[in-house]
Amino acid sequence: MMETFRLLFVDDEENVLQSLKRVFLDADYSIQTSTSGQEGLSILEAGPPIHVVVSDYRMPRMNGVEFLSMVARKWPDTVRIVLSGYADTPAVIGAINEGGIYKFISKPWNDDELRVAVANAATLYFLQRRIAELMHQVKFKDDEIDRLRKDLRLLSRVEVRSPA
Amino acid sequence: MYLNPNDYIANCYALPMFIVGASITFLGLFILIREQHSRVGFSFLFMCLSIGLYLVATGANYLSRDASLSLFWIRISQLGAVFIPTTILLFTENHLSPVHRYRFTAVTSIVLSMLFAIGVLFTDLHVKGSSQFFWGRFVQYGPLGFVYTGFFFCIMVFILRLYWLAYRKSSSEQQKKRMRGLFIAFSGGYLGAVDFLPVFGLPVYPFGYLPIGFFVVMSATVLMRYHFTDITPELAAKQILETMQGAVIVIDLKGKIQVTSRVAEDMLGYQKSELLDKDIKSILPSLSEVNTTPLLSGKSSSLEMTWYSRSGQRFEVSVSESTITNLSDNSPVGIVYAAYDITERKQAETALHASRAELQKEHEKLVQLFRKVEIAKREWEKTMDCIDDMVILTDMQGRVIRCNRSFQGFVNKPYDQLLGRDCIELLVERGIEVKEFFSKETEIFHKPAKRWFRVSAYPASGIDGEQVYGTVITIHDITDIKLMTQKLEQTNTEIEENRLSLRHALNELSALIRRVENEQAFNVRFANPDLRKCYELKKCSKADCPCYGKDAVRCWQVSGTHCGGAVQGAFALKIDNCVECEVYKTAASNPIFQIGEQFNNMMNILEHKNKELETAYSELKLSQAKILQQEKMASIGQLAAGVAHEINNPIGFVSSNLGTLDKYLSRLMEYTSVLAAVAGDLHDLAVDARLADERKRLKIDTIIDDARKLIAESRDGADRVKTIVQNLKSFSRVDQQQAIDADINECLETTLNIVWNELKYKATVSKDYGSLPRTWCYPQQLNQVFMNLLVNAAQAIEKQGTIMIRTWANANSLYASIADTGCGIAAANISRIFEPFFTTKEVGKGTGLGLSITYDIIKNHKGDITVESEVGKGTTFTVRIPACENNSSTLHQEEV
Repeated sequence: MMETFRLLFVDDEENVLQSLKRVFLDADYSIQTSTSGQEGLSILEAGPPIHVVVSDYRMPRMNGVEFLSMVARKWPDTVRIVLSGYADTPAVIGAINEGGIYKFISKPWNDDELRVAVANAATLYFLQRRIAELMHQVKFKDDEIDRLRKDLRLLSRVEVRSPA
Repeated sequence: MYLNPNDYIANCYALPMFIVGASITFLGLFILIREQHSRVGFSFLFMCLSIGLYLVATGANYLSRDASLSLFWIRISQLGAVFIPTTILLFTENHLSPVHRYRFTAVTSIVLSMLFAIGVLFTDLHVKGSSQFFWGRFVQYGPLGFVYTGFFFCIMVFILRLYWLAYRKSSSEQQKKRMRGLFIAFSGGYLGAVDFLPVFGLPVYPFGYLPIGFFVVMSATVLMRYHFTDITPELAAKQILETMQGAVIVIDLKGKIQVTSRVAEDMLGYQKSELLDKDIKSILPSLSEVNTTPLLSGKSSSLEMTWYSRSGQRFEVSVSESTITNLSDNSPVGIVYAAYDITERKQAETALHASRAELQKEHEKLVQLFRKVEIAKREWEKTMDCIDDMVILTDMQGRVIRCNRSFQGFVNKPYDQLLGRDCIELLVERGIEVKEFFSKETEIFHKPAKRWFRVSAYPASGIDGEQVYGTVITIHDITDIKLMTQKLEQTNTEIEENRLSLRHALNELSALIRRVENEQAFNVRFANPDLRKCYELKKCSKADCPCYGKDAVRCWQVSGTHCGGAVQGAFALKIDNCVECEVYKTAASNPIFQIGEQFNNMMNILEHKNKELETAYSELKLSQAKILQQEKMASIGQLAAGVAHEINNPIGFVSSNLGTLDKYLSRLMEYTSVLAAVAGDLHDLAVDARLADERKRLKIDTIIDDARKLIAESRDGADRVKTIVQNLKSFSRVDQQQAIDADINECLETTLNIVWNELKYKATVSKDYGSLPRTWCYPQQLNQVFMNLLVNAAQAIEKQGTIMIRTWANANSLYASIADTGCGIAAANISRIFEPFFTTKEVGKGTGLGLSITYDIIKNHKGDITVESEVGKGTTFTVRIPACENNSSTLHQEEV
């Protein structure tokens, strides 16, 4: 049973946010939007964990890289995508290095490309979480194996002792 | 008390003392008398007296009753005793030799005896007291007494030595005998020194009176027999002196008169006694002035002088002088002057002398006069000989009387052969054609020597002034003056010519300078008439030299000349060497021409610098324009980037929305078709009709048909906006200056999009893109190239035309050609179209830089650009760039 995939769009232009929502009309995603980095952060603070964040680069007050780098610090599991019309070299480098982003999509975007990218990001998120869970389980199992080994050793000593 | 007989006692020992004492005293007196009171006699007497005193007082002492009386007599006797050695010494010295030879000994001895006498009389140092012996009291010495004893013996030894020497030296037998006798007498007499023995405490009876008595007898005998005075040469000399004719004066070395002859006394008017021991200076001052030094060294001489007697009478004397020497060692002890009166002879001589002197004087005067005349004559002759002009004195018939050396040299004959010859004849012989002499100047040319002469004649008159007795002829060589005058005239002409040519040159120069000032014409040059062709002057045959065979050569201004064995550099570098060169020096030999050439050099530098400045200025203008252009492009780029972002946002959501709308529309259409199907299933005709009516009224079918088209067209529009923005961004990214791998076709397409606005109303664009490999290039720069070409093409088309874009490639190169059907380029302009700032467009439309920048960019890509144009038909620009598959070094950025 897959849990609902939660997606956050951040862009200072409402029209863009509406368009983005429309792109994912048919997808079974829980979509939230915010018009600034600060608002986006408060949504992340408040609600259940957001799986993928798609942010514009050029925004007033807090730009996309600043926002995404804070997200990366606080919620490292969240997959981060930049969607920007401003695609010069410093913007891309800053996003990759500071925001640790998964993908850089330039505006104007291609809807299908965007859909694929988000879907891939969702898959990545769940895969990462699954890996983490499995790692946890492995560790738990390892611990259990260790414990059982110890018991076995104790038992073997007991067996050696009893005839004596 | 000393005479009171009661104080004395009889003593036989005293008797011999008295006898010897008395006899010795008498002996002294006797000798004195016999020796006629001579010095020797006196000194003998003193000796006898002191011995006598000693003996008598000692005898009295023997008789003395008490000690004090005895001491008195002892003192008296010692008083005598202390003088014994001294008196003996003085006697001996007086007797044997002049006292002065042993003056020191004598004086010392006298002083010592005096001191001893004082010691005896006033102190107890000499006589301490008396001792009693069997013969009576005897003296007892104090310390001084013993000193005296030593003194006595020293003197005694000295005296004996003197006698011994005298004895050895004695010249006559008589004297020898006398000396021997005295030596024996003294030797015996000194045995009297036994009287000293009791003084030393020896109780020996002082029988000293016996030896003393012997001495007295012995010396008395000797003196009696031999006398002191012999008939010596000295004595003879004395007699001779008195009888001599001449006056003799003998002086000692101090100048004291010692001997005079009677004649001398008479002549001078003095008594003998008045002269003896007088200083010669006071008697005969003239004699004392004679230098005696040569005389004393053994030379005798004679001289004449004048003496004056006491009464003032004058004597002319001839004086011969000689020295008197000591017989023993030949040392001079005095001088003898023997003077003869020659007054009368002298007077006669003087008179004779005077008359002879008078005659001599007269003679000398005459000789002097003759000499003066001779000197004057010679001086004058010499003076005449020093003159280069010929001077001849002739008599009235023209015969040579005198002539100077110059004339002799000219006619080349000795002087004596000239005298009496006819002067005119002589001159004619030497080629000077003279007929007769006038008293005026004549100039004559002497052909053989090619010389000019000026002949002048003057009448020669005698001393009285009136009577003319001949002619003085002077001949002066005036060739030099003649030549000089000619030369001067020539020089003057030359100077005048030079002056004119210099003035002309100066005028020309100042005109040139004015031209430079007024017209700023840097190509004006001073035309130098002295300018020579360097290859002719230097005989240079280097045909590849830029100066060779050229007219108006200023080789120092030509770079790359072949002089000095090497190819020379540019003008500014070699001019320093060239100013030393013969060619330059010839051209600048005259100061004005030199200034002219310096002016030319200056103008050359100016022209050169001016050209450089112009080039630099146009380069500067070009680079400024390029920078301007690039800045323009860069600011367009920044603007475009900013605008692009702003456009990207709306375009983003517009195109996204259009996509969504298309999806919505599909769903609505699906829904309407479902609605139509459901309505059809109802089979209700009324509903169907109503639906059909509404469908018709609302033109649903048309809408459905058109909506899709509408959305597609809108999406197409949005896509185009997207493309334009992208193109704008990529086109304007001028800061991206590294070569990248690019597709030329894409570049063309991008540029076309940008300039489409310019083209679309004027031209239809046909594209024929060939298949091109990607190549390393600067796409932004190429975009600029294509933009310039496309805009130019559009501008060339006046109303409507076609722009044909074609690309193709071969193995090495890529080609792009842009052809228009515009107005074309005039043939005259076609070579200038790539020059910066060249434009045929109206002001404000073109900068004149477009094609220039294009050209630079293509050059930068190692490519080239060609143009074909036909006026009225159109123009085709073809760009070729090499194909570079990798980022090779062949393509690199040379300038921004």
